[in-house]
Amino acid sequence: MDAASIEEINKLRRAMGMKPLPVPGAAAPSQASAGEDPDAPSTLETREALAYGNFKKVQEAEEAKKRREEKAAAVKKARDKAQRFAALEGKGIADLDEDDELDAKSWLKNQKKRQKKIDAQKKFEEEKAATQAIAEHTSADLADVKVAHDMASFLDADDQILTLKDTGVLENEEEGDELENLDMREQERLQEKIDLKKKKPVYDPNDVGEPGEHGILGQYDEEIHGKKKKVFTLGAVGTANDLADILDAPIQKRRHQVVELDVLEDAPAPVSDYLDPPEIKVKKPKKKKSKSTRQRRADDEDALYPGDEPNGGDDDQQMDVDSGPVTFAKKRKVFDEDFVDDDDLQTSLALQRKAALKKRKRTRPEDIARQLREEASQPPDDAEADKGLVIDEISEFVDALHAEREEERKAPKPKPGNAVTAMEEGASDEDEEMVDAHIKHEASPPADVPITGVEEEKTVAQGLGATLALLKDRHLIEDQNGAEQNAKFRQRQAFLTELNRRMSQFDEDTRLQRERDRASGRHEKMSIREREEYARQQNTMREQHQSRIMDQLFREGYKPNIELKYIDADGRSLDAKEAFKELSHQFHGKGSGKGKTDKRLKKLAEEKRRMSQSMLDASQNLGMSSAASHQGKKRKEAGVRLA
Amino acid sequence: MIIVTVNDRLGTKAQIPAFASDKIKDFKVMVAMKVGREPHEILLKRQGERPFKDQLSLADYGISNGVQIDLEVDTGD
Repeated sequence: MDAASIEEINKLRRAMGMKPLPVPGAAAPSQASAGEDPDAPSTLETREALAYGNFKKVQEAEEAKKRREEKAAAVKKARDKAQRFAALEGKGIADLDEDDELDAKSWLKNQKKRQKKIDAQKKFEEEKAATQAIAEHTSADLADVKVAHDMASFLDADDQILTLKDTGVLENEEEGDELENLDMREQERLQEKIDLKKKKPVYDPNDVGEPGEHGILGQYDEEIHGKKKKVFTLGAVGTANDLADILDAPIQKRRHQVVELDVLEDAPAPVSDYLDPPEIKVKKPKKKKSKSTRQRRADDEDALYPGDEPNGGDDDQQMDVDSGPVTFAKKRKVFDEDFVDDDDLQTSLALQRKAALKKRKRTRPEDIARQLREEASQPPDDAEADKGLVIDEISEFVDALHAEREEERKAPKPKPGNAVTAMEEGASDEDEEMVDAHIKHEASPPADVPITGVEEEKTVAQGLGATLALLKDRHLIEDQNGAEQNAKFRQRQAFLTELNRRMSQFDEDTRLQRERDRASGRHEKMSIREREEYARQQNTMREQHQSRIMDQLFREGYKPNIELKYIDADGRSLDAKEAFKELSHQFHGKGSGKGKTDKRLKKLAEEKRRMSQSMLDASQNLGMSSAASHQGKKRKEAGVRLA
Repeated sequence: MIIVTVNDRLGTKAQIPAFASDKIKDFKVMVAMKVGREPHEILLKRQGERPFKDQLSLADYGISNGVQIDLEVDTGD
């Protein structure tokens, strides 16, 4: 700031009433203003100066403090160091040698001195120890001191530390010092505690009885009189004697306790808690015996196993009570035992069986040969016998069969007769035929009757007629009613011929009539229309007449053969029931369910198989498998073909 | 005597000598004379702070030697 500008500013300041700024070149302000108020720092500068001064002071103080502390630390450090090295003061080993002479001679010379020194030191120490030892107690000091334990407990011979027992002041005056082993005291206390906890009964019968607790309620003596103490006194003289006593005491004790065992032998034997064996009665559970049924002695015939001895078998059975017979031969008997049944029936059946077996058994080769020879000779005998008319079961049976056959023959036989002799229905003829049949029938049996009394089958080799008859017998071919059909056919043909004849006759008649009309000359008279009308009239009349005749003819002769043939999808012909089923299926639009269709298919398959089989095959004639028997079953006929 | 710099950051910068105990009102007159404005048009403040009041002194605001203050236009708002 230059003076000129400051001057200007001062001018302004004076005008405003402010103090002028100090011009650098101008004279310093008067001293008076400086010494205004030293105590009251009114101006900022003074205040600042003061502050600066204070701050400085504070700073200096801090620094001083720091220096002092550093000094103190340094001093301490030096002292410690000095102390550390204090131990190292004095002579080291090397120094020692260096102090004295280094060569061996001088060292040897000094050796004596050194030794003396060492000895002197030792002595000194010993004397010290000795004086100390004198200061200690000897065992004599403990001459009359009591030890509050039993001498026996010190027999362990270990070193034991005894301490003065804790006592009250007065008690100590009375009784004097007592020594005790703390460990043992502890053990005793522990033992007492355990014993208390055990809760032993007061009265111990096995105890002989110590002199201390002999009286009644002896357990309270301790409580009342105080605990019994075992004390022995340490005496320089008497201890050895006590020890000796202790060692002897146990042995003496043992001697007291010797018990005589011989006395026990004479004592009475104690009563036993167990019963004597013979006195005991134990009931065994009884085995239940099964009811023994009396066995029938096995017959020789009954036994199928010839090796089986009936006697032996019975014996075995008698022996066995519970278990059943074991061998195979006896099984039948077991069966007989258990099976409770109607005895009468059984006996009768048994008899029958016996008879059958007897008969069967007789077939031996010689017998068979004999039989054959008899058979050979028999037919002539039979023929003779036949005249005599032997009636027995078989013959009756056979007659029944024949009767059935006759009935069958009755029906077909007159029919062919009818067919041959057209419209002739002659009863006489029938009778004649029947008579013939009878004669024929009677004539035939004698030739064919075998042992069984039934006719032999006709064989195929005999001819076509025989074949047909065989098939008929086996009911494999149904009765075709050939006669009827034939008749019908003839009748139809007759009708047709009649019809044709009439038709042709009518045509002929009309032609003739028309020719006649033409010839008569009537036509010229009439006009065309009249002729037409006339013709028409004539036609209608003719037709009426003809139709009447035809009608009559039809009514008389026309017998149509109406056959309703229902055919399956496979081509099989259906009967009425099956046909109706088909119809209903088609009507309703759905067939049978799974079961029904399966059944039907099975049936068809069976039929096919049967048809494909050879009908004349007799090898399968084992009971029910033959065709004849099957057919018989279908027709609900009883009976089995034997041959 | 302290020298205070007054700067309006738009080109006007002036050093004005004054006493620390001078009032802001008088200081504003000095500044106005130097800058060439009227004293009631001037606003003295530190940056980001409220403008100085007329009754107080420079020392109260801590303005000592070499301090720079902002100079602004006082529109009366």
